Amino acid sequence: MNILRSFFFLFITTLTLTACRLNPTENLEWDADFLTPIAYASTGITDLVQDTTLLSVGQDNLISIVVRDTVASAALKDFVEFPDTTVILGVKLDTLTLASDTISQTLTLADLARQLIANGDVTTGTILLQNHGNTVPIIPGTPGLNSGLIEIDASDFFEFAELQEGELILSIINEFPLNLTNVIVEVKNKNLPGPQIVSDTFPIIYKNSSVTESYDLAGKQIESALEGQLANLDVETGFFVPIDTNDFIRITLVAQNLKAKTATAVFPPQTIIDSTRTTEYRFGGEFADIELTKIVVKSGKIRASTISTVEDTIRFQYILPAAVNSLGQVPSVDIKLNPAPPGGITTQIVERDLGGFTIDLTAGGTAYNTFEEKIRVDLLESGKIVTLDQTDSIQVEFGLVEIEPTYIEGYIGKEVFRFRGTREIDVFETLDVKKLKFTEPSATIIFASSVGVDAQVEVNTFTAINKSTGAETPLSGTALVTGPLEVAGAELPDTTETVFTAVSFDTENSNIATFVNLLANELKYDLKVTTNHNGNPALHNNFASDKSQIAAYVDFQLPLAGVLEELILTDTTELNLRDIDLAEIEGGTLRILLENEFPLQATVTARIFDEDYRLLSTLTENQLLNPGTVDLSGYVTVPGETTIEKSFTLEELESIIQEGKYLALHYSMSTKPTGTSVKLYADYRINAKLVGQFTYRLRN
Amino acid sequence: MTTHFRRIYFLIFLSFALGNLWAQSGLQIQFQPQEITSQFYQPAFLQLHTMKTVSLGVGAEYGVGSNTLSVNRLYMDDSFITPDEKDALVGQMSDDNRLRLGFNQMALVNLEVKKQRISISWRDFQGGYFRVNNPATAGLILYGNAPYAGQTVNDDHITLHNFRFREIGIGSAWKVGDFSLGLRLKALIGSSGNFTDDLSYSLFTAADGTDIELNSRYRIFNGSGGAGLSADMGIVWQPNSTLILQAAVRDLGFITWNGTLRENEVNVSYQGFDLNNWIDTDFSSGGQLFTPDTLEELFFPDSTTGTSRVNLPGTFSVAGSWEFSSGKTISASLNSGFSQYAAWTPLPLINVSYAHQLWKPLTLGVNVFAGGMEGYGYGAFARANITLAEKYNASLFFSADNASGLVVPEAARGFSFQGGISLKLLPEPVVSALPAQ
Repeated sequence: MNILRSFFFLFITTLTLTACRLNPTENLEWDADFLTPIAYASTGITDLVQDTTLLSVGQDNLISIVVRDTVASAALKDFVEFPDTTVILGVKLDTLTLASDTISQTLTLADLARQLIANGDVTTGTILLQNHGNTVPIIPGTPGLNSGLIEIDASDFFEFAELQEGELILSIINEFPLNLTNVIVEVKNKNLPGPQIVSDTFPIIYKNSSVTESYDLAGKQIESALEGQLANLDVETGFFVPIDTNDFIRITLVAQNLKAKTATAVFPPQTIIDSTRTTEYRFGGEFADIELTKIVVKSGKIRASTISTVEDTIRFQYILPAAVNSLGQVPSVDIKLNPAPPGGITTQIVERDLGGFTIDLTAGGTAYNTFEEKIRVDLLESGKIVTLDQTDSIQVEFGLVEIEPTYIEGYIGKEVFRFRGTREIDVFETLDVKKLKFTEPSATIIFASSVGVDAQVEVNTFTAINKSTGAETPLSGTALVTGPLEVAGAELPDTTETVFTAVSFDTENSNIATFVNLLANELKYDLKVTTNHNGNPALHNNFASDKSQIAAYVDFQLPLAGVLEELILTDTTELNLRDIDLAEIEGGTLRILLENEFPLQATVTARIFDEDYRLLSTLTENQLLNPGTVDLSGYVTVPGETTIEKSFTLEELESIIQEGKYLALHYSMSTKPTGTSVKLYADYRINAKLVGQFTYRLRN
Repeated sequence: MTTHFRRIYFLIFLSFALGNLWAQSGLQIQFQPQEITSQFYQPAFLQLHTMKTVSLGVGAEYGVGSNTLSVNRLYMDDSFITPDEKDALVGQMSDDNRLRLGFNQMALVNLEVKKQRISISWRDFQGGYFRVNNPATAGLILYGNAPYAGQTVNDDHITLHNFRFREIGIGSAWKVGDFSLGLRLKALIGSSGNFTDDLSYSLFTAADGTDIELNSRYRIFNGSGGAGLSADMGIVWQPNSTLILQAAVRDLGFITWNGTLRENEVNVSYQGFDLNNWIDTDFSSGGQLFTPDTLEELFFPDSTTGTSRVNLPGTFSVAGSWEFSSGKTISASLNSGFSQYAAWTPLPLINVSYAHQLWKPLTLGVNVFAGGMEGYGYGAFARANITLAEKYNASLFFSADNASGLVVPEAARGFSFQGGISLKLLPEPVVSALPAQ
């Protein structure tokens, strides 16, 4: 007896003063029965199909299979394609301008006196030189004076030019106190052979006066080194002449309005082209009747490609004033083209993204498909002497390319879309049922248009096909025999609106029941859609965005009301019982409590499998589940309850607990009596609760 | 049944994991001033103790008591609890069930220096107290919850005090006329302690086993060490050689424990694992088995590391003994404690003893008591006193204050043992045998 053992133990302990633990509950063992829920699972009608989006619950809670299939759609890209507007512009330097040039030479009275002395008229020359500031009573006339050659340097302006046009202005100012007669002026190239550029005679130039004469330079070649002279100068006799040796004769040459055929020069900055041009989109083929007034660009760009043989800097500017973005910016391209090497070319390509820009295609409100472009070509001053001639050219290729719109407005044109083909329908294949007959099916063909254009639809073919049986059923109904369907489109200014036009088929107006209960797995269709059937091009009130489309859907509404035979619901779920401390279990019972909320008679089979899906235990097989009891409205108010209990030996429990991985519940449901129609509501489920009662060997 | 759930029961009902408790003893040793270990009950006995300059002794005591459970239910005949034993155990329980166990080991050295006596003591104290109100609490442990299907089992204010400490004390006693006064101051070193005064639960098991609802609240302090102080005080009046009246208080003090306070309130409604959501569950960590406010939280309560000051289960006694004839003494005492965890509670315990010195080396006695934990009981003691040499004396004392549990374990609700050995250096002239008090 423990008490006695404890007594002696205490006695010995007391004597030995050894600490000990005298616990009456130590090393005790006992068995206790623990009842615990292990798991629960609920399988409902929503588990019929893997894609629960196919299920819909009506206001009456009746669940329906809803199948939506898009059989046709036409989007913005189907309504218009924008061609590139690229054009090539070639520019020749036939308007090459040279800078104006002014050259002056001055001959003083002192210079004249010295020249007289040099020519042998010592007396006159000496009188002039010696009477500076005096008045000489008489100065005798002196004929045949010559200024000699005067070097004229024009290299600051050009080295050489062959002029297409231009003029040379000669001015002679006589500030001598004497009249000049028979003044012969000559100007020529210093090195180039050929006629003189200027050769002219002025009969008289009075004292303190001037003469001016203009000479046409067209067709003349001019070099920078020129020679000029007063080839003859007669001085008239003068009386009481005041002598000032600083008095002078000044010859001024002004070359102006120079346009060269070719030149080697420092060219001044000059605009070669500055123009505004009008470009029109020319839509071809099926889009030929499109008249657009506005584009909002999703993607696309201005592309400008330039090629130049000019040995000077060229600037190309392109502006698209018809386009503007939300920031008020106007797109443009600006290219600065470096000088071409002698005999070579220089190229450059620049692109400007037009995404987000709105382009007005009315050219100011009077046109369509049209926009303006501003282009300008400039020769920039480089400060360097370069040689240009009329063979030099600049080629510019520019325009709008790769335009994809997000929005268009105008008249989209009349187009015909033909939608023909077949589509797979797999909803019925996901149902594991031996027999299924819907009693309240319906279908709707919906035309959804968010394009600002009306359309006319002809349904030529709409046929259900069961490929397994080969059976086909064309859809027929009142709506299809009354002629083409008029499909309205969205209307400005609401560009986001979607207008739906629905054609419904039910058991009253069509053969939809036959159509659906074929349990088709393929749908064959042939639809013809004509847009702008009633459109007025003059209104330009069509529109479309990249989100717009004209689509045709077919919606099947299949309320789960009808006759079912062997509708299979399965629920295989992962089961982990390893948390149960097997070492302390002496045995146990597993209990499954089932609630059948369906008005269907069902059987259940519950099995436990290992991770390799090997069967470990069959908890129950083809156990009959009582159907739920319906009220007068046909709704189940009292679920059918069934309890299944199975005891296990320790060895069986070991197998289940250690190896059990999956619990598979398999329900087979049928309407009873056979052929009776029932309605399945969304909240119908079969609830399974797994409860364990285990006998534990507890130890303390 | 998952391990998680099974742990719940054990967590709630830590009672059966109790290691050591303390019970009532000392009913007879408190009248034996010549036994050194009596000074643990009456410090003033140091002054009455017969010795020259030194004496020493050791002792131990063990006791268990319950107000409802019989000894044969506390100590099973076999290590396996049979269904009948479960029924009997649960059947004995009422709506107030208390259990107390205790085990003490002690040693003491008395010295007389310059005519002032001092004593140095050591004690290893282990004790526990458990109180549960609803017998079904024990039933859940023993039967499991299956028999309670369809019922709600609840209990509240489940109490547990279980601790162990060691003490070193120094005491002295003084003679003032016919009075002797004793005082012992003790330094305490706590080893381990578990305390709760607030553990409640409610467990509902659905009749078909598909639902378990657990509502639990607990606040448990687990001390892993501590230190404290306590004192024993006593007074003895001996107007003549045959009459002694005395009073004493013991273990007035506290231990400040270092440890962890775990508290939690859990409300769990468990219907099993949702197999439809089972996939991807991380079983190794509990995963989605429980929502955060359910079982998982139960095992991971709010924990606070800190200290907790716990008073010792102090006791007091008032007693008197009268040697009405040579070698024949009758004694009586009134004993109780300052808290429900203390010995000689919940009812004050009144004890009456009779001792008879059969011949000089041997004294035998009997006692009866009423009150305390067990309600009533009886016991016996024996004391042997041997003079080893002229100056040396040895005595051996053994008592069972409550021997009823040994005699009728199926009816009695406790028992206790106590024993000790004393060695003395005697003063001149040598006294060969001391009279029993």
